Amino acid sequence: MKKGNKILMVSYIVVALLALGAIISTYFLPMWWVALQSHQYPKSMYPKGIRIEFKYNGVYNGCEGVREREELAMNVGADCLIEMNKINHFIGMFPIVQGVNDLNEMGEHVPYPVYASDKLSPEEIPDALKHLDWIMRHSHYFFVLFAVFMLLFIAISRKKLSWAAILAGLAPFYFLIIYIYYLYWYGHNLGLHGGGAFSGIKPFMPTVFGEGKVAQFTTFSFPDVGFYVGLLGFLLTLVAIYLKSKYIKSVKA
Amino acid sequence: MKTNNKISVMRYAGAIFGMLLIALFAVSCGGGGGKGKEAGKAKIGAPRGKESFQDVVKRRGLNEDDVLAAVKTYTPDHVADEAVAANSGGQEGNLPTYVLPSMRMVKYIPINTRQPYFGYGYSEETYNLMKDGFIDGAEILWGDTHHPGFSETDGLYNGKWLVINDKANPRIFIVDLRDWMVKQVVQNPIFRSDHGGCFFTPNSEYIMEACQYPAPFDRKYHELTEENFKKYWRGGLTYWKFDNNTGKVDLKNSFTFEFPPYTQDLSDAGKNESYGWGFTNSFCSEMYFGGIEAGRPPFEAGCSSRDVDYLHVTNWKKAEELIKQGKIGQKRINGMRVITIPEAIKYGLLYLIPEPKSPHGVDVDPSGRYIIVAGKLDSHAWVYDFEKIKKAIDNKKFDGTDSFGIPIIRLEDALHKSVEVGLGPLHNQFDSKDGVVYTSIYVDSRVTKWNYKIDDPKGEKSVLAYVPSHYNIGHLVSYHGDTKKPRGKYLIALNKLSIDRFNPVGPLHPQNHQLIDITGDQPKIIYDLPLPMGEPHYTAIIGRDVYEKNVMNVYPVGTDIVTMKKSPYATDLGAEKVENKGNTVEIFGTIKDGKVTPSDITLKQGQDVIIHLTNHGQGLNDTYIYEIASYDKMYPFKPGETATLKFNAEKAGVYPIMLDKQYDPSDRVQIGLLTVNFDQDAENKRVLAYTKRINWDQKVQAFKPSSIELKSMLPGEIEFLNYGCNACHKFGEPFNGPDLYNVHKRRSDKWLREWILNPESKYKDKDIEAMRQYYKLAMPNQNVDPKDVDKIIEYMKAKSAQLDKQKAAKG
Repeated sequence: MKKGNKILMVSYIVVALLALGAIISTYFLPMWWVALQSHQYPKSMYPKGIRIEFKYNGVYNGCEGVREREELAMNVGADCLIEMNKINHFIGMFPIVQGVNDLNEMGEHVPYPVYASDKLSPEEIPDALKHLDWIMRHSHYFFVLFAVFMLLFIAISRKKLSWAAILAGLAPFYFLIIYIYYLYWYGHNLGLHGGGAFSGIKPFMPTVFGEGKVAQFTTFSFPDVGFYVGLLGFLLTLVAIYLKSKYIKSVKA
Repeated sequence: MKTNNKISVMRYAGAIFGMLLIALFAVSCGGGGGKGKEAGKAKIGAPRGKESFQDVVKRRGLNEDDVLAAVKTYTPDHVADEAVAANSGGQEGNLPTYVLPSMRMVKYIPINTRQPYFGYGYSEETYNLMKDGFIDGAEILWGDTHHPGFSETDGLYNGKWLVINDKANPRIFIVDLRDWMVKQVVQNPIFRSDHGGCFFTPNSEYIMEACQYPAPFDRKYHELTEENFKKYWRGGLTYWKFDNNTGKVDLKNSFTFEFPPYTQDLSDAGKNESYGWGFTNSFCSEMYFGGIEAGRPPFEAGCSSRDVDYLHVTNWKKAEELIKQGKIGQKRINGMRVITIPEAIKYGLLYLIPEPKSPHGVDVDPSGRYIIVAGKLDSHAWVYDFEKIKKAIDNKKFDGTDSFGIPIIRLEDALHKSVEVGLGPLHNQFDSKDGVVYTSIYVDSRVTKWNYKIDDPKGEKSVLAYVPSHYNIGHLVSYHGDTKKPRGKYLIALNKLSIDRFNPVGPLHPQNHQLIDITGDQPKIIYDLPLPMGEPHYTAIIGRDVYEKNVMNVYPVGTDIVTMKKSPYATDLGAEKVENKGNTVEIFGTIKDGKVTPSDITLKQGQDVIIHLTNHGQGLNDTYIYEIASYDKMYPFKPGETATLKFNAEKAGVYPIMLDKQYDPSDRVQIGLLTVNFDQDAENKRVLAYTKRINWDQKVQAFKPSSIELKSMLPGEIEFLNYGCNACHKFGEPFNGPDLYNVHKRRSDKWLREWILNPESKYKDKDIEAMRQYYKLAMPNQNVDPKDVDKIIEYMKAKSAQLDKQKAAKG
């Protein structure tokens, strides 16, 4: 068996490792952010509006300094996520599933969102949200899987194994699919009337990307740093596949 | 688009007008500070210091709108304020008032809390007035004042009376606008809470007070089950008979409509063509009563599961006639005449109409034809047409009944139109411009200005403007906005949260009342007033011209300000006297020009003291605060007032009597002495009462030792401590009472037993008498259980033995 081009081998391995690094870091970085702005959330208190951040493993408060606010300081978990849920409940929207960010008063993980457990008994929580909760809580296993795929791609130099690299490299798009699906789900399942919601609100698709307007709230929904890093990881994956294919060709040549 | 253009043109015109004003102002201020010296010479409106008008505007970072707002609200001494707003003060128990447009506080009227500034609850007269509001004997010294309303004649404010309800305890308070003080406290004998009050009918024939949460009318115990809830729990609406001349509510001629156990919110009385009718909101037609601990949804959620609630339409005029004829309302519960649901159905006095979910305000327009309901959980305000309602009633066209058999008018047969006004509409107030109404929008934190009259099936043309409010608006109020002739001009947004509007002051921060100028097409906020008090829930605004003529600044000499009649205790100058009746001393005195007659009071300890003072001052500054501080007695005597203070002179001593002139910069002045001469019997009584109190406290907080402490305790020690013996006795030294060391050697067990159980029997013994003199105390009867006496005696012996041992050990 012939030895291939060493430089190509080293470079595809390095690029693939970089891609893997980028993909894994998306687990720790916010992928998307959503904000609501309105005059009753003055800039002095909420410089970026009511802002929340989405990660693979959960949804987080995206407002800085809000926890320091006096009237909220004593409130466990008081943040823009709570505020967002409060606004949403008026139109009968289910509370946002918070994933691993979800702590009860004792600081323990509870099966369903803190806010939801207030309004919903566990039996009432729709299956779709239970699935979402499951995905968020187990998202780190997916990343282990991505790493395994990528390492397989790197280690087995005789075969192309492009599919393994692609499966790992698509990580940010998996997020996007889940995100869009659940935006649709939330907008079309306004069933939480028990919480004291408005009557006669029609189902709608919340804005996925860009600026929108709901009542007198201006809504913003944009990719966050994690998504861009993920895109970079995806591009690096493509480059690594290309380099590896070149390398394999050099072996055959 | 046309209206938009119009608005922008108006804005433009407004801006130009504003600039002109600024320019005018600047000119009048001396033509700019640049020419400092010249400006200083200008006679009128010269800039203070070196700063010119423009400099100040620049330094403070103001813009044109700000300056315009300042010009619209600033009220110098030569300009009068136009109106006064009367607020509910929430659990504060006061009714604070401020003036418009300068938004300055002018008075706190005490409603259901003792208030030293007014003396409310500090004289016998005012305390007895408060007593009328004590429910089932419970001393209630707070409330949650909610909705103030001014009395009316022919649908217009007459400037005579102001009424406010207490939501927490179902009571209403009548304030006299002659002296801005409560004159009558009326408790609703069948409700447990109220909310939809106080609303006057157009000629103040009645005051509407709707219940809030249903409760059994008989105020008795019924087990809370679904079946009992439907059987005993009731909502209701009381029409209190009111006399516009005397300002008195008359229970005898009042009546209450029995409602199903739904929860009532606000009410309003019809006028003009809807005269004789009343409208009351209700929610929770689900008849839900909570129980999260039983796994049921929380109360508010359970009450919001249906998409509509019911507007209750009542005919009070017809009810009044039928009562006169003796046909209905023969049933009285706790003294209140009740029109039962079957009676109301039979005679066509009560109808239901579906209304938006979780309704708050129901407001009858100035013409009386349209009724607007805003429901928090429906983004539309619904406009009902009374002509249609009347037609449906006359034609008996109903859409079935509710489970109590009350006919329901079909929504389509009553509705004029519904307009999307925003998320969380609450209350409506009318403008002087025909068809214009303002609705507070809670979730959106804004006021929506819209037209309720124009025919607009798609609801596109109806909304005229939005005004942001800061923040979480609840009620709103316009100038004479609930009368037949609203005056326009001003609107106040009552905001629950102020967030960033004022300086941070900790978790309890002020609420924010925003004055809005509604003269233009686009309303403008022109003032933010912080209200640092319990929830200032609702406000009513009355023009100064309407009530001013009725206000009195001094009372005729000798007035009891509760009854507004001459007090039976009024005392003429020179006729002052002291009546000593043994156990009681009654003093009839006067105050005149800073002097009190009699100035000195001498008593025997233990006497009851009743002091009636009449303030003969008739000047504006003749309010005197009379104080006997150590006896916790204080009362501000208004000019001409006669009031009574009462106390028991239980402590001997010499106490200064002070008089403070409220409107004079001088300090409190000592004007006399209260001398209480020592009396042994009274002293003994006082001490006994005192030790009894201690004894009681100790029983309540009985000493409960831990098992470890118990091991180291001597037999009987717990009893010794729990009966409070240690409060006066020690071992080895005398304390408040004699030393108990070896007492068992000085006295027999039998004697000790008798002494502890019944000390009074031995007070006359010579040796005991001597000790009483020495200690200035008598051994009190601690009500020791005969079972425990021997334990206490055993403890005395054991403790003495223990001390002997310790002494021996020390050598």
